[in-house]
Amino acid sequence: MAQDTSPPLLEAVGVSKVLSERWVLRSVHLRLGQKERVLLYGPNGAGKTTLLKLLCGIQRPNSGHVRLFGHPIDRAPRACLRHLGLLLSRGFFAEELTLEENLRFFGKLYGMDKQSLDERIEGLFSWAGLEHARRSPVFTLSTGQRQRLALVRVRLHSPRLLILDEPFNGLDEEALGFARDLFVQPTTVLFTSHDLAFSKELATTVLLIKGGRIVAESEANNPALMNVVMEALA
Amino acid sequence: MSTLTATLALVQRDFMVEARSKEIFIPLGLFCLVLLLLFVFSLSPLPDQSRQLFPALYLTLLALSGILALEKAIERERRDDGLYGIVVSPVGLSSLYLGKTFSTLAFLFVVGIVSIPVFIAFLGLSLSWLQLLWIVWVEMLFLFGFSALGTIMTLLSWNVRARHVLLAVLLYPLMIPPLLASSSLMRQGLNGRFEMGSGWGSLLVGFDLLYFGMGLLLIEHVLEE
Repeated sequence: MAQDTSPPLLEAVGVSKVLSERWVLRSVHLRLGQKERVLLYGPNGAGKTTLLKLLCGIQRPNSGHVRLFGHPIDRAPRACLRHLGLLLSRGFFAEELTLEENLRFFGKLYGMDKQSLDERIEGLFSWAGLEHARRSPVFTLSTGQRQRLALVRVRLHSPRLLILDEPFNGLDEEALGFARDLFVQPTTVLFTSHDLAFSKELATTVLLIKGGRIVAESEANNPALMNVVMEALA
Repeated sequence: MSTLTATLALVQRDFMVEARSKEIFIPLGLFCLVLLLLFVFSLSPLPDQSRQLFPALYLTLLALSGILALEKAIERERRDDGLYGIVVSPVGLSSLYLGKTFSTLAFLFVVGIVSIPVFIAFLGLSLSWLQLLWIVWVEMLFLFGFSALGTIMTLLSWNVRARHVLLAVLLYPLMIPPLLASSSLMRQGLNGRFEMGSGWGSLLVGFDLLYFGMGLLLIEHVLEE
């Protein structure tokens, strides 16, 4: 990643975070350039989700700083969040509302006009195979369907930067197929996954995180990637 | 997207959710009824005493049901991390504050309005239309301050494990001046005096504006974590 000279979409410099008197992240550096697809890989409790929350401004670091689209995250204009798509372990949905009502709500938050929202919702329901469930309340969905819906929400406003925490959780083979589309678009993606074999096919770079530190970095197509992973996370 | 449009979208969503789940209206309605029955049967007030008791009983009911409504609203947003979805959207955080404040105000206002006839029936009160309107007006002013302060306190206690306790500890002491002012204004109204320019009226409006302004100023800092 260091070779890229274009301004980064997302940058973390010396970011550390303490939660419940424990260092969850220690001096993490990360730079995400245009159209890069970076996999953040590490064991449970390594600090992956916390790092993603810091990078999108949900949490603040104890030290270091984050820049999003060139702006310090705590002073970034709200309008630049229009270009960010975030997926965490939960989908941000109102469970009692239907799939379509939830998407319309998010569409309004992102300032989409009715016509483009209608077209977008139509296209994305078809993409995710959720047309039949569009008028069902979210609480009736299975885990896999909820994850499909979360992916639809993330794509709804066509963001330039995607931050995805475990985007393949609960997806069946068919859904894994269309989830690949997220990575072939001209979009920059930072994502976590425990499925290294599947995820390395989608990533350009793999960052290995352990004990709150980035311990190694490798090109995703490196033939010796598995050795790098074994050594770094041993 | 303008602040108004975003606020309306948030209020509309909260109303749609409540219309489906009724998880605020039904528990609050039952709670109000039980509390009222308890008051009436344990105090057995005479007609004259009822008029004196009404403001205290009515405001106690609003304050207790208000905190239940705020807690329900927290649980609802926590359930699927709904708050994060709004925080990372381009919508200004002031819209989030306004949306939540006005939804809470509307829910509590409806509960308050519906419980007035029940109070009148149980306490055997006879009120003129002007007195009724005055009570509704004071109720709205009280609930505005309550919702404005309650919303910011709710968000402040978001990440705290003992948030339900913290919310009550933070909220009730700060609501004492508006409670006293509302109680006095309602009592004055029941005695046929309808003066907002009195000290109590200014106090109530002053605290409403103070809490609302404080919420708008603090929302960015409160949501930093």
